[in-house]
Amino acid sequence: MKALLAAGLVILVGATACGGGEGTAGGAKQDDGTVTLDWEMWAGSEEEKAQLDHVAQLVTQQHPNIRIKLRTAPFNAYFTKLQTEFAAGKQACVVSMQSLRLGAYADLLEPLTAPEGFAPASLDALKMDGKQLALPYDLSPMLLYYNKDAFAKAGVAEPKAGWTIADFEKAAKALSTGGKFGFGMSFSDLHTLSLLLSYNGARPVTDEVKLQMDSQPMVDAVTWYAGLGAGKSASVPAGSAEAGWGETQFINGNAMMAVDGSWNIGSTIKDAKFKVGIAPLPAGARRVEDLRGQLRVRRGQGLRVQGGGDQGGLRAQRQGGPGLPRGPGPRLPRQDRAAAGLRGLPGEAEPGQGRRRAGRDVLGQGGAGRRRAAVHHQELGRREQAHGPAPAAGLHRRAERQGVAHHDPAAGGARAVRSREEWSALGFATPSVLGLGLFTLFPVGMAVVMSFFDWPMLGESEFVGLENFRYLFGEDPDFLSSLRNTFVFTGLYVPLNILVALGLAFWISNSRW
Amino acid sequence: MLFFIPAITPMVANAVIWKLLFQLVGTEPNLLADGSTALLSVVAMSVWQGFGYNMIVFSAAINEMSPSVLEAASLDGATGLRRLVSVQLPLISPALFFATTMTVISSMQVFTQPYILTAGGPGNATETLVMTVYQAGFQSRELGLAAAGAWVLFAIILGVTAVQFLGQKRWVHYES
Repeated sequence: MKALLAAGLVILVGATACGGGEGTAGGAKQDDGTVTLDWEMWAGSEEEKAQLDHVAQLVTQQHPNIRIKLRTAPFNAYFTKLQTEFAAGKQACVVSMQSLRLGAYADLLEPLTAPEGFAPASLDALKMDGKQLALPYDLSPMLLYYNKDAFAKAGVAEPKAGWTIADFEKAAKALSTGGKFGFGMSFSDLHTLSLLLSYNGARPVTDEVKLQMDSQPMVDAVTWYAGLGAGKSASVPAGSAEAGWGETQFINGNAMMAVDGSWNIGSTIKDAKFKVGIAPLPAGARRVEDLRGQLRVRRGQGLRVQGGGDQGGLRAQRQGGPGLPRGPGPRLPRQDRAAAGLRGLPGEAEPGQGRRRAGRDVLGQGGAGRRRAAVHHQELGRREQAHGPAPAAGLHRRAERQGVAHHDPAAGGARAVRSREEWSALGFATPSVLGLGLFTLFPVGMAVVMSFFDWPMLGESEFVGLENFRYLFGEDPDFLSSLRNTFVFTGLYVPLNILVALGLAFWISNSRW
Repeated sequence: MLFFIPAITPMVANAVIWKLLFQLVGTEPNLLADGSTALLSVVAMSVWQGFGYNMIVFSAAINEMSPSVLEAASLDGATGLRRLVSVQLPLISPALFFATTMTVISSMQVFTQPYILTAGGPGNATETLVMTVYQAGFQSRELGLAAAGAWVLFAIILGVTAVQFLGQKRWVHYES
């Protein structure tokens, strides 16, 4: 059972510094002494919501003065919502997340005093720098899903507790016939690493948050895993974009076993057109008995655990390592400080500023004149180059210097009309200029500023000068290779694109000459 | 207009279909799963998706070629390759310049095709600059790093485009 725990995924609840007073988001205290606490949790259906509501009511049963108000979002949107709420200072008092994400939120959570009754290891796993950041709420183990029908048909004994890696290999081989595979491989972190952990205790990251993919146990485990595919007893992911390959192949009936989390039991049984069996992961040579090792919280570590795109997992080293200074990171106790993370979005002061700037430079009379004069100047410059100075050039130059419209020396009577036209022009242009300022110029300006900061999505930002650029060109394992890939892509794509387009254009245009 | 259909179909839909084509279960070799061919496969899919727009631009330019110049060329005995290289291509060189400049800019920003087809893999064989920026910003949540990466990309595009504009004097011919 301990091996199971070690490979699993803890869901936890943590307390935040949520609004305390009347009317603020996150929770409230009434005059009669009852306290309402908001609780943020993901839920995909009305049934799930009802279950959670039931849990919330149990709290009120035990503590009549506490009411829990449930806030939910579907899993896919949950963490975006959570981050946005934290950034805006609208977070719930109690928030839920998976333990692997805890590090990224560490600075935003209030330290707790753990009550009696929890397994000490499960509490230790949610500690950081000696502080209890969260309490366990739920535990989702990784399981071996298997196709009962296929096992029965092939006459292979079904997996059960105590099943070993050798049994698993034998079954995978026996079930790999007729274009089907005994096992569906995966390279998403939880699905792969849990099985490797079970195989020989291999762990991708050390306790000091250093990658150790080249450690002997890891090499052995990955070699064994890859061997399943090479030995044709497992279905190999068809491409690197197929993060959920094994699970999908299992449900489609192409692979007879796959590793997946217990949270997918319901949907797998619903979607599969065969009888689904579930068993613990097969046990390897070394039983893993250390819950802490696998679940310890690491600062800044952000793993994406569901829904594909798991590259985040391997970034733990960069995030947690000594590379970028993060500072001790004081917690954000009040709304205004929490709002620091939102500075990248249009706040209240900036749009007005943008409007003033736009009004002066782009729409103002002088500005428009300057621009027009500049265009003429450019044209004249070209003409001058070709035919010598144009006669009117001097006049235009002067107009440009003075920064006024150089044409139509404004007859007195026309002035009122013109200014009205200008006002309406201003009116017509304002929305798009505002839009340009708000959605283009402002973000561009912010990007300049942000590039000189260590600016995490949550928490305080800090000026670091050119450190980001130095990191990109000096340390980032991906940046230079992605630069090379981009150049190779452009070097191949542009000529091919132009050639194909040109050839077809000549062909379809059937020019007569 | 069959050739234009890829250009107006949503990129994501195209990429997903091409992914299925590339990795029909059981076909060997699997081009997307091999580090040496993955990027080429992404290029192939992108060319198929992207040439339609340029084709329209070129087609318009070809139809606008001055008949008198072409007639004069044919009276002078220009045919075949000679006519293409010395007469027709110079006549449409403004369109060629426009198309190459725009295509270079957009291809430096490539994201969707590798994101869908390979997610940057195998390894990081197809990870492009914009994907790195995206990962830095929205998976590692280091917005400062992402902004810095975006500015590097901007500087590169600006530099390449500037070189193209400076170089156009040598080969682009504007009428009159």
